[in-house]
Amino acid sequence: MSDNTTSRRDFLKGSAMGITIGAFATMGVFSYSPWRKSYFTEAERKQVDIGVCKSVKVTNISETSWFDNATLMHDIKNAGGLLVNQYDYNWPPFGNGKGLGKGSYQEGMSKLKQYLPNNLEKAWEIIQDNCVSVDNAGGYAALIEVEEMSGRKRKFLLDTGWSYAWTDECFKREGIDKMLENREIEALFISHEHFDHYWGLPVTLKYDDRIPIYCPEGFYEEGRQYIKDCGHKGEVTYVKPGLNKVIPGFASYVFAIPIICRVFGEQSLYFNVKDKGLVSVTGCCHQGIIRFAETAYTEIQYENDNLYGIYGGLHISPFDDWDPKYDDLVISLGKYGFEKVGCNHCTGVLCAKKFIAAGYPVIRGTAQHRSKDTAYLGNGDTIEFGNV
Amino acid sequence: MINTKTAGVNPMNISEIHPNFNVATPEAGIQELLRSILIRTNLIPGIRYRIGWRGLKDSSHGMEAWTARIDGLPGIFGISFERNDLKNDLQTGRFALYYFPSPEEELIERLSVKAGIQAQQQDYLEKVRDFLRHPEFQGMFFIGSVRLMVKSGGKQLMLELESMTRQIVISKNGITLPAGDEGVELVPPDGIDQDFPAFDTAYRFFRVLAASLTFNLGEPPVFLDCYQSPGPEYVSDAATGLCHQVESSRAEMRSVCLGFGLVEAKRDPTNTKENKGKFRLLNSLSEGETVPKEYVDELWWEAHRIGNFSAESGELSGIDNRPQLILVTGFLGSGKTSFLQHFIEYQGQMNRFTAVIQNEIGEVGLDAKLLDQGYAVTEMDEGCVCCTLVGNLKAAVNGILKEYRPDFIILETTGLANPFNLLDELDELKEILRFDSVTTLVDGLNIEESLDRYNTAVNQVKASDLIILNKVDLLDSESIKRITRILRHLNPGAPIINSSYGDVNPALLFDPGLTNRSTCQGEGPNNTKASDCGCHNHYHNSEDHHHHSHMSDDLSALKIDFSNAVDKDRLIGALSEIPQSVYRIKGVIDLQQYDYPMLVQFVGGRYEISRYPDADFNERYLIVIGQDLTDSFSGKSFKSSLEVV
Repeated sequence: MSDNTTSRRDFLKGSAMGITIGAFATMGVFSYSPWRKSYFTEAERKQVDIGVCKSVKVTNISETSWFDNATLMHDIKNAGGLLVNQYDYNWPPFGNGKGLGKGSYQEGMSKLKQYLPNNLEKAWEIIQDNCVSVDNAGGYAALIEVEEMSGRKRKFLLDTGWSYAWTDECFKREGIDKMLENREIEALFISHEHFDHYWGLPVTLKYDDRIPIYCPEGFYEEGRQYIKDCGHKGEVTYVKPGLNKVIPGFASYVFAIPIICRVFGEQSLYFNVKDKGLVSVTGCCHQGIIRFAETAYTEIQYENDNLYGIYGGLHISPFDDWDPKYDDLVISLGKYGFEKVGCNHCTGVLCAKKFIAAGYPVIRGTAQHRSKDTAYLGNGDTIEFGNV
Repeated sequence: MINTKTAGVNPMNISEIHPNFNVATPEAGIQELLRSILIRTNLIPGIRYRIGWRGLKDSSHGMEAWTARIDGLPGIFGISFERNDLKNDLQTGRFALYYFPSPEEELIERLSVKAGIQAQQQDYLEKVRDFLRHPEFQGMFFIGSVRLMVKSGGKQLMLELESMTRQIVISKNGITLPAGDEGVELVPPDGIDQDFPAFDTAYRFFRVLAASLTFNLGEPPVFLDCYQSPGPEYVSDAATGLCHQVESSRAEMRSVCLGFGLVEAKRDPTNTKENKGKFRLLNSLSEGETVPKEYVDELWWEAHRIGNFSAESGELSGIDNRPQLILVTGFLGSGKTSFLQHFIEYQGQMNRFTAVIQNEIGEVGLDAKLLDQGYAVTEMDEGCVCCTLVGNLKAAVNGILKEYRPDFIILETTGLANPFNLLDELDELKEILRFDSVTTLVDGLNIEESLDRYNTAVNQVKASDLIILNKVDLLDSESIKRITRILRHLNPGAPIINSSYGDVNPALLFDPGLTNRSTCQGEGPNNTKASDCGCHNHYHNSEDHHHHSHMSDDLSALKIDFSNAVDKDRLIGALSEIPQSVYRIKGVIDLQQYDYPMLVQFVGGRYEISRYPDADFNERYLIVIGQDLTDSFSGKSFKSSLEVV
């Protein structure tokens, strides 16, 4: 360095504003770094054709997974924390009467099995005697109606709630019970193995025990056994990480990620809506909004190359960012330019309000059936993407 | 003395990390494996902090990529997938490692001029966050390779770092940058453009990653080996725009490799023809052998014990489980509730739970319904905080700890409380919680009037570690400036953060980790733990201990400026003789014995002297707060008693 009185850093800092990186080629600085020259590969867009549909309508059956955070916090912390196997909590339905954190799938199931899936009232009585925090259980479930280009409408379920009592009540409220009985709903997609999305399975099976089920491959032994123990008689598919086409304009995608309470993998749904763009429907989005949107961008071909809409829980990253000034979710949603947003569940009410304050096109709800704020697309509310 | 695990004969259980690790799709599998290690370690705040993570960000773009900050370094690491090789039953996932120094960091000087300029650009951190989209940019910050190797379908796992001790680039033509009329020659012809300590930097990341692997597998490594071989350096030529490699006598390539699980074969880079004679073995350690001294302290031998839940104690082992306590003060209507709402939701998203203790006078307490989600609220008796809370606080905190085990406890005191009286009480709770700060919400619309009329408002500002100036959306910039000046005058030390609707990103305010704002953080390089540093000195005057209610509003503050360093022993002597009327002393001064600024804190007869983390902080002063100071305390004689003549 020719000038020993200033450090290079200070000099560069002072002059950085006036120097353009492009000027370097003529200044005697090599044009690329010597270490990396062979590995400059831009990520390739695969843009798989998943077909196209006319519209998608989502009915929020329930987004209230539990009713009291303090109870949930008490239970998780006192059972040993966030890495403990969820089947050990002694939460409904898997109770053995031994108290918090001392449960097991087998002991809980042995008391219930004979009543599943047809006598859920009796099962729920047993659950109330043997489980902890029974009344805190709610659940997450959504009805998806896809309209094909021909005009034919097809129905699917995303998730099946937690509490048998609450889930059944919500199913009846939205007429899901009848749709299942009439075999109008073609398949049940489970976003991930978490209690609030999956443990209400017998309620679906009570009305239709042959419904095909699609779970992420990361399901653990207990979760796989539960399907059998609930008396399911249909086909079960464990979807491998990656893209899984379902019908024209509809594909699911499984993300291989670890989730708290010993769960692995999350399955999200993508819809390619004619003239609009891609619509994404999530359970919790544990993979993070960035991975979710990035995956859509690189993997799927969609109308107008436009990320059109999103529905569901938009879990922000559970980690601390290295830059606390970066407001991950709010910035990301803006960056990807969604035109229609329906959020709830794990999004956070204040976060939803921030979206609204930022001018994002959030579709507001009616705050009914124990959903608490109109910033959420709440229980019983619907959102439509495309010309329904 | 640590031995490696004696029997390296058990197949390791890779399903602990990834239940469906699939050797049939190796390229996806190896990326998923790294992702799982990083995410699983970072799910629980106490664990990620203990292992050394200080922030993590998914930076994937087509390929797996992460950016992260780790303990002890201000810059950001990047790691991204490059390729996967499958040879017999050994699958090798190769990842590139980057270090993006902080623009202020001295390490930036060791990178190329071009990288140095990049780091000073406005969009530097944005590019870092998305480094895969900027291949040329990322290339300037490359520091080494990390290999994740899976053998025998998952029975053996190896983690290796390979990096240069010095990454040297010579600039054949030299580098002159435009400055003034002539330009400044930053690098003379044939001078060194870059000389980066790549291995030492990369190793800092490697050890955190290795400890994460131990934590996830639930078992420590069974072998370790390290090799070194002569490495090249590079010459850049402006004429061609290219670099070429030359032999170097000063740069070496070094590798360190850890093996987990069943040991079938250790790696031996010396056994190929071309490598013969080049490599020298620095260290090799097999199962059952004693770990050499330089590696004994590595967390990767012990991290499998972190976070084990003990049913008896109800605690997770190896991590500090004490919740952080934040005392939130502010007048009625200053925005405490809004602030709390944001705080609680934010922490909830980060898997951290918050409990609230309230103490309000004549006001209906913060209602759980107001917050839209139930959370732990313990309402304490109505009454003055200084009368009823003192003595009750411990019971309330114990109750909450037993019931909820929260990560944060927020003690929300009424708009009328005098926070000084609580500070003593808080000190007695050290065993069960970590005191973070006194955070004061200031209502920007009314603060000037409040300060004029109520000494309690003045005290709240004075007692703060953090001031949040709320409702700035309703103020013009002149008012904000004026109020900031007033607050700064009352409390020169506390950061003032502007907000609207109480919406402040808590990560900006509160260290998510275990540092303790108000306790000693160690005086020297050997004292890094708060608990065992030598600068702590306690003495209690319990019989003379008296409480001051908000009724006795005659507190005053005194600022003493220092232009010279003072003697440590004289300071300790003077602090031991502080009169009863002084409640608090706080400030930053230079001590002759240390060449960095020191934070002095004195509360209720106890004092702490610790290193002040911001070396660039230029003010040197002590604020003295007490009752009737004019009669009982002279700032002038206090100062002269400290200064060495």
